[in-house]
Amino acid sequence: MKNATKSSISHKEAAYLLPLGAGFVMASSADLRAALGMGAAVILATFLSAVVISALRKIIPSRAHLPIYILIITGFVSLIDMMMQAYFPNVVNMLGVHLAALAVSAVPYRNAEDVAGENVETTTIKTALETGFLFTLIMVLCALIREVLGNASIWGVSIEFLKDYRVSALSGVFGGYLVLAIVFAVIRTIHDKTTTKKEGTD
Amino acid sequence: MTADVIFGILLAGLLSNNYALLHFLGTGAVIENERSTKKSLLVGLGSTIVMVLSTLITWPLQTYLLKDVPYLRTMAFVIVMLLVVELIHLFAKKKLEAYCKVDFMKFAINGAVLGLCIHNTELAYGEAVLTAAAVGIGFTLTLAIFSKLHSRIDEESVPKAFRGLPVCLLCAGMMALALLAF
Repeated sequence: MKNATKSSISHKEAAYLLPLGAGFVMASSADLRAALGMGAAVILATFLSAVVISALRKIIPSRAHLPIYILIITGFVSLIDMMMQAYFPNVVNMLGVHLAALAVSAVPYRNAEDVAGENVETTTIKTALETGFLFTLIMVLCALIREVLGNASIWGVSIEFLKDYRVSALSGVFGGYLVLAIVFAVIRTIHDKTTTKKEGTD
Repeated sequence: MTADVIFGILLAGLLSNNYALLHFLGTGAVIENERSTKKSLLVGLGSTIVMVLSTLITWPLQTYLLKDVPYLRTMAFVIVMLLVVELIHLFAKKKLEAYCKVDFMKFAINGAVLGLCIHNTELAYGEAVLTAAAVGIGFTLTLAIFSKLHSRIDEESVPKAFRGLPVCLLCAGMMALALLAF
């Protein structure tokens, strides 16, 4: 329980996990639909794999953690990929290879290794959902900025009055890095201020 | 394959086809890299070998076996990657541990390798293998550049909110912008 609290991202800055998922965050944040699709995939993959790994933690030999964890995560990612292809084919096209690459992403793996492999299901579920929702929030925030200001559109619908003022660089590769850096800096500042206030109250 | 094509693929792997910076695959591994240049080169070389060997196996697997069962592709490719990494780990464990204490298995299994294997199935076999080698070299160079970059960023002169990951992301963004010109 203590360990889980340590790993829980709500109790410490996101700096630990964010660099690991920076790739898929930037890749899917050019469009709000892609960001939400990827967010759902991250939540489901992290949550389902954490539950299964947590349930099997006593059976899995410590030397075989890495391959078994990755295979479990890959199984769930394939399942999510198939479901999304059936119901949201456009989103799968937008995400491309990044949806499959989620299987070997360090985010569900580190979550599984640090929390699910050592804790009971309830703690694991809480941490997995926190991780998933944090990434979804960051992706949606980045996507809102990049799509509205870079593409002058939202949810694929163009915003006429913004068309002349759009900054097309924001929807490109550099925009991904720039917006994520700014969003992360803002999150950090808010987190630091909240922590200072809490410490002051205590 | 003509010399022009070979040269083009190699150059693209280094510049316009840079997976970590332009395709956002394996970006986490690069941004997180705080190893010395020598260690980065060694780890990058290992990743390049994983990329080439994985492509050598996954291309025929996709072309001859998985064409009718596309839903098994990710699982099959990941199993191949795991086997290749385990094999390299088995043979080069002592050397890797002597040069740098890095969990090579965790590092080498990343989005860049899987993404590359998936992208390469659309090319001819020879081109796919050459692309894998070129992308691997590009990945290694990016790792080495980032290791130098980390040591040169003067954290004191960076605003507090931008220290650490944000400034690294901005540096990576500027590198990506430079590569986009090609």
